[in-house]
Amino acid sequence: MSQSDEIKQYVKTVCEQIRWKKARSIVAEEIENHICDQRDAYVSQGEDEKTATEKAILQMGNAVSVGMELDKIHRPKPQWTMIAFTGLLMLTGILANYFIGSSRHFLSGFGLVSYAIALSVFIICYLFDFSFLGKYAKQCYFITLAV
Amino acid sequence: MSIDKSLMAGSTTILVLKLLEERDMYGYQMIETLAQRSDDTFNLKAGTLYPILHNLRNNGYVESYEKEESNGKIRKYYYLTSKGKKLLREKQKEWITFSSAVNKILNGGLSYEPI
Repeated sequence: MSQSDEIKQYVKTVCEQIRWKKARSIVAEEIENHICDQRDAYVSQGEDEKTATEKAILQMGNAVSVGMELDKIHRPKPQWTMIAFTGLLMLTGILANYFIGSSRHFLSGFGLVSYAIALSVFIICYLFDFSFLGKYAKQCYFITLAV
Repeated sequence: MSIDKSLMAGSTTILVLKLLEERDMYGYQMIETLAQRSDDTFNLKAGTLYPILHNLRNNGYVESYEKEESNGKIRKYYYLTSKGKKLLREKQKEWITFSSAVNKILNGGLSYEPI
């Protein structure tokens, strides 16, 4: 593997840990520049390029843990318009149900309960970290089969 | 002497903020400067620095811009925002209180000299 390939491989491993794809290119450029700076510094201290590259990569720290740290920080901002839109649709549904549908039923609680359940499911799905499915893919597969 | 990791983790942010108070810097430059000024006591790994920097930027304490160097390299420089300057002042106060209390106890309340 050539020296620049080694650097690229390191950067790639870091970026693979970052789930938000938009953040990857920003991180990649900065980290690659950093390793190159460090390598050049070692070269100017008299190291050959191969050793300099290896030392520079070692100085960065473990690629996976660095990537995981960056993943924690780089998360997409919540899409408030989509969330607000969903809320609005739900509210429209409640009102429509109340005015058009059998309001007797609605007031007896059944209608409201179903909306409360829907809202809870929505919030749970929103907050759920789906990377969990990837981590326990095998277990999820067998549970689904069993069900 | 190498410093315990957890001790280092608690003070890295304040060191980074202090460096940026003096002038705009890019990541590599910060690590080099810290190592130089501390006689290589603070040998910060780049993998530790960037998460800290990016976190500070997400919270509005620092901002960044890109600048092309004379050798054609494009570097990302960071600088302190006014919110960041305020954070630095708070962290400095906190650090002085903390370190002088630790020193007092280590020295039996006599002096601030290291043992």
